[in-house]
Amino acid sequence: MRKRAALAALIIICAALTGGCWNYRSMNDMTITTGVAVDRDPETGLYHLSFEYVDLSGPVKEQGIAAGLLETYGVTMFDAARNAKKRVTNKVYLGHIELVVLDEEVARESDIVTTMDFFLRDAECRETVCVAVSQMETAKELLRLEGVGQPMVAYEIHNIIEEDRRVTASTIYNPVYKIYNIIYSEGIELTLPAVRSVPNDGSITCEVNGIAVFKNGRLVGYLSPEESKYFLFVMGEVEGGVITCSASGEGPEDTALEIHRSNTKRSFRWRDGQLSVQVEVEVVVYLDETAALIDLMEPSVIQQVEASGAQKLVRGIADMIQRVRTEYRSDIFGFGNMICKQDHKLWEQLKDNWDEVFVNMPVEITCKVDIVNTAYLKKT
Amino acid sequence: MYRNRKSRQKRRQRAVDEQVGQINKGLDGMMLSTVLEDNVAIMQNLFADVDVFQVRRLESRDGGLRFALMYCDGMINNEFVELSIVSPLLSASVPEGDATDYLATQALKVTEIKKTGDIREIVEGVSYGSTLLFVDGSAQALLMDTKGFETRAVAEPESERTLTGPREGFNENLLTNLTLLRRKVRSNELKMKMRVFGRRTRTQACICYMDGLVNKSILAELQRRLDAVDIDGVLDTHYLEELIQDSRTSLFRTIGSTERPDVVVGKLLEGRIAILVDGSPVALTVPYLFVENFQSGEDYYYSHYYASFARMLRIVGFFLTVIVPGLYISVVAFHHEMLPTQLLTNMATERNSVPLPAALEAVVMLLVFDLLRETGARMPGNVGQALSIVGALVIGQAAVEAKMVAAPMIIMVALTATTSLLVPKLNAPIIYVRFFLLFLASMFGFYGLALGASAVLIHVLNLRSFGVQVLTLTGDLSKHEVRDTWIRDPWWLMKLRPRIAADRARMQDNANMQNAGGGQ
Repeated sequence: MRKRAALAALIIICAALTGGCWNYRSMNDMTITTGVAVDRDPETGLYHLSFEYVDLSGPVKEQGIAAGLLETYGVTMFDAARNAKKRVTNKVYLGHIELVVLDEEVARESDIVTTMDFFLRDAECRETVCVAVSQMETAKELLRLEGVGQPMVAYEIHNIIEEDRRVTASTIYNPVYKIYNIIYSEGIELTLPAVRSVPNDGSITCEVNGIAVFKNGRLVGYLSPEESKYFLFVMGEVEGGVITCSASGEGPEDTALEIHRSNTKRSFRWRDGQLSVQVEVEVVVYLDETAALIDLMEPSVIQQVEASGAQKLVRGIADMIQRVRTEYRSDIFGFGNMICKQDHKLWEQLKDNWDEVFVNMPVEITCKVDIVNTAYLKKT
Repeated sequence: MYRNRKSRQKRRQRAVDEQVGQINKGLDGMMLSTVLEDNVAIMQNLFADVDVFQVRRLESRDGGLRFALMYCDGMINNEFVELSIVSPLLSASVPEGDATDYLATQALKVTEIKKTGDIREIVEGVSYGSTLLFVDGSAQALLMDTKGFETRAVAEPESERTLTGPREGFNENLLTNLTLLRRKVRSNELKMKMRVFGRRTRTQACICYMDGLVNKSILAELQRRLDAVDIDGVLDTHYLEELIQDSRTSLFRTIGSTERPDVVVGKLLEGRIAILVDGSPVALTVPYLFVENFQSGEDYYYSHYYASFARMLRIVGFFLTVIVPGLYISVVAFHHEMLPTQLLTNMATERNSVPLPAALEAVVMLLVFDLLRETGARMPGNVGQALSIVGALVIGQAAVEAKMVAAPMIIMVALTATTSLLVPKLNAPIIYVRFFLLFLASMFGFYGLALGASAVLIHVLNLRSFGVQVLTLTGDLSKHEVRDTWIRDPWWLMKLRPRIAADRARMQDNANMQNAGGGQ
């Protein structure tokens, strides 16, 4: 047993230590890139890649690293990446790329599989590269921005997207490997984070702005940040964020509930040739802020707030699902995938006109909000 | 052709033998005479041109006998010789018969007297502080132990300082060293076998072991190897070490050495054998397992928690000092993915303005460190400050500011250097293995590093110390085998001696454990 454990440890260590691209390449001989924007040149139809690179030429020790943009054109992605060498001494190094921004037009017009193939196939790129859709005129514009307190905007965007689920729940983090998995799974469509630029204190900075919805590998539309939160509830990926609701159940929203954890159960029912899907969401929250003058020591008041929050959730989720079904007709929730995994025979039967089934089937949503904590104040 | 070479070899060997034979030819077959003057003449002839050699003639007061005392000036205790030898001789009235017997048994007040006619023994004795007495009419001489030369005091050894525990260290006098051992073991079980090495120096050496504990086959093997030693001088135990170790070409030592009697006794109690040589404060211990490189005598005087931690630290230090340069080069030149991005950009910034490739830079910097270290060891103490200023400021700071060397490289060299001082017993292998791994890493990255490390491991696994494997990888981690290796268990748990001992039960009330242990 010990021997086996030792052997396993040895294999893991060797695999970890001997992996990677394997040739001598000094650090002075490479241009470290951190992000890439993918556009298409309107005149020539060539791919237009803009690499954000780490500019080490300035007084780096005093001022920190600076970002620069390196533009290049090519028939394919790899062609474009190699063409960059025409403009710089050192080959671009893709091992530390953390963000790929797709131009809206590119996402709309070409299948995501074809644009992402290079990033999946290339040995240097990481499988955890974050992919986002730009809502700007060109994707390049995004990489020309400066992050808040961070010169490399690509890292800034990557970190915003990756952390989002735990703090605001307004977008989704789908790295390259997940994109691949989603594309080649049945009954689920791709979603990617959407990014735009916004004015901020006199300058312009980037902001994530909900989710881009794909259908058959092509961009079809967006979900707003608010809708994105409901989408994440349906997917069971919410780990934080805020639910606002009215304490009394009517009138203006005056209470904020901080999500501690949430749990989503999804199931389907096949009865008499009719498919229905159930989504049950359970959220444990802290009451973090309320402007309503209510006595929180009163259980009935708490119950009232819980009911109000649950009602808000149910309505939000239902509206969001309805909009996706009618406007985009894209099963981004993976309901089909759920059926495919749990009842393959049924899926075989349904999959040919799944689009119709998906749009018309009843979706039952139940939400339960549980306030466990009202912080330090008893009353307002 | 082949036969030709063989015969040439034979001829050369014969020439060497002849030459060696001539060295001691003068003493073999020489006989003492019964005439006092003849004997004095023989001795004066042997010690011609040795001006410290003194002859003193005496005559007993009744005029019956004439004596000649001979000694080397400065080697004897003059006062003692005066009181215990000269005055009894002057007042001796010798009856009929052999005068030497009478003097040895009844007149002379010396503890150690030897009656001998062997000229070689006489020469060795006189050279080493004995006083020689010739009596007229006797062809035998009396050799009396009157040593009175200066020796260094028993002090704490510089190279093995400890914070706690016994502070004694060996000095250059074999007999003093043996008393230091004997004092700790009041038993006849501690055996001390004397022998002589060196055709010219005739140096005394002593093999010590505990009779009931030592593994007899290891002892026999040691004797066999010592018998084969043929060298003209032994000035330190390390002369012997290189002549008797198992693998003569290996970088790794297979014989331990220490200057501390408490460590030696500790090893003896584990069934090991110690070799001490006159004139050297260093004792050898065999067999020497690889893990002993990481052990210190002090470990047994500290809390076992602390001692275990210190041992693990030393092992980690060894790995670090050997592997860090190679690791650094692999990461910097081959596996950039391994670095967090922030670190990569920082290092790239540093490396950007440096002229040399990283691998060459590492070699140069490591050599510079070795130069500094060697200089530090050789220079007189009062110029130390100059060295540290030059080392720290010029080579460290200034080199980075002048963009000759990247700052991460300095950090790497500093880490390598500090950790290399953790295991002084492995200093030779560390240097070579480090460069070996660095070379492989700069050619093949992590793959080369893994390959080189495996090669070193295989080499160490193949090493034997007097037939005992120095490192075993049987996967046997049963409790008794690790009690005193990379951890130091408390004494109440170390009920068994290590596997090299003949008698494994350390504690009496656990004598039955021996069988349990042997069965494992």
